[in-house]
Amino acid sequence: MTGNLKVLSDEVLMERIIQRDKMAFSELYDRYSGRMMAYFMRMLWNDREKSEDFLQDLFMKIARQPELFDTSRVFKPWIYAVANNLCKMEYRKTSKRASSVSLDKAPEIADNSQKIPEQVDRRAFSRKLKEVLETIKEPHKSTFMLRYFDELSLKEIAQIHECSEGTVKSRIFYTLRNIASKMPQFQHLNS
Amino acid sequence: MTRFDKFSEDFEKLLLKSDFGDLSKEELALLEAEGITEEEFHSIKKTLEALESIQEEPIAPSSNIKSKLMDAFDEKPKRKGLIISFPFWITSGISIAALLAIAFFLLKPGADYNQNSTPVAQQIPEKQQKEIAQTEESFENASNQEITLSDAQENNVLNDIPAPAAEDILEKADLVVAAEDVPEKALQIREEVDFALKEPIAAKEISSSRMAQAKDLSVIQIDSQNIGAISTLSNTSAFSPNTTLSSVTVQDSRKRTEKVVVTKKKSYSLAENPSDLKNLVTIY
Repeated sequence: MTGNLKVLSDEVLMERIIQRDKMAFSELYDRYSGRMMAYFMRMLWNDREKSEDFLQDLFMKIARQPELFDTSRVFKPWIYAVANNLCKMEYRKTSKRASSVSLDKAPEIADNSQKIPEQVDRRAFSRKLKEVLETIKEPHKSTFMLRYFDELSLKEIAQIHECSEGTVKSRIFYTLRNIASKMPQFQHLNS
Repeated sequence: MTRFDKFSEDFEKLLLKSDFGDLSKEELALLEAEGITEEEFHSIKKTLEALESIQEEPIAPSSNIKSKLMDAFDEKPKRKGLIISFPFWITSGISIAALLAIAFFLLKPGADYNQNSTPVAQQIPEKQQKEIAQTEESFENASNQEITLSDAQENNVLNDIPAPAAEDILEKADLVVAAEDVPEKALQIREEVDFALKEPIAAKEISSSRMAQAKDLSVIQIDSQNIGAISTLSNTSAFSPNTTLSSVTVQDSRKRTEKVVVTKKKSYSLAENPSDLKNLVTIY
């Protein structure tokens, strides 16, 4: 039943997990734990402890009720959709929508960033981007993150959010526009 | 369908590879509709280029999470539902108590279930035995009378009596039997009729079997004018004494819709007072 699990698709792994194949579960965890952890970190205000709790909850659901996944469908959008739902529930529970580090308190980023070495500049861009994203409301925020951090296709994002691809495009475009207006100092980055 | 569906399949590619001057008329019109200037277009384009350059690395979670999950995977899925689980010492205690109770009844010291061997009949007091004997005697007499009546029928003794009169006799007989209950029953009927008029039962409350029963009894032809009005059963002759009237099915004259006539009184014996049938039926 084991074989080379690494060559198996996520969906086949899930089929095996439904049949209580522990090694398949281990392989699936290794494939997704890192990126799901990064996703939770971004979605949950960089709170590592909370993100680990959520990661554990997510995989606990898979361990205990793998049959909830329809093996005829694609696994990746499904796991992101479950993770996204967990975050939405957390948002409802807490009114803490703003980042623990608000934009006002964010470290000053010098406008003369052209003088800063590019590597540092990219890190600063990434940090500033996350801060700006904290000010963007759902579902635009998660749509944007799924696209540019998790590199999901428009179709996959549409499946996760249960909306049309046109809506996904629209959300991404408006978020891009919003970010561009809030981060003019980084526009030299790739030029 | 949003306006963004007008963009090419990969609108980011468009932003990354196209310059403002390369945009189609349709795309330019869309940007114009959104109030996006050329300057803002370049700003968005630069932001997107910057986004493409950053790489988000996976974050490794603590290693103990995996070990916890692997342990959880080995556990059998818990049953759902209202199954109460007690600690083993309680369940074993309950079992022992149950066994002791059974043993007590089976092996009760001094219990002799055969000690009272007197026949049941002999245990009945003499007075009651006489009463039973009298009852049995009268029952035998009644059976004989019944045989006599059936003999009389065979000899066409009753054939000379007109049918309505026969029904009348039977009705009267029933009324005599129920004579003591008449005032109370009349009051009950009145109350139920009042209730029926005030709060009609919805048609869906009537079971199909009851409707079928009623259908066989009477069909009232109605038209739109008397819907909602109070109707009288036209062919009460279809009812025999002691017929139970629970509901009546009616059709409008054009037979377009089948409506249900309901009486709140779910069982009504015509023998009680046939004239009370009127006002018992309401057409909705």
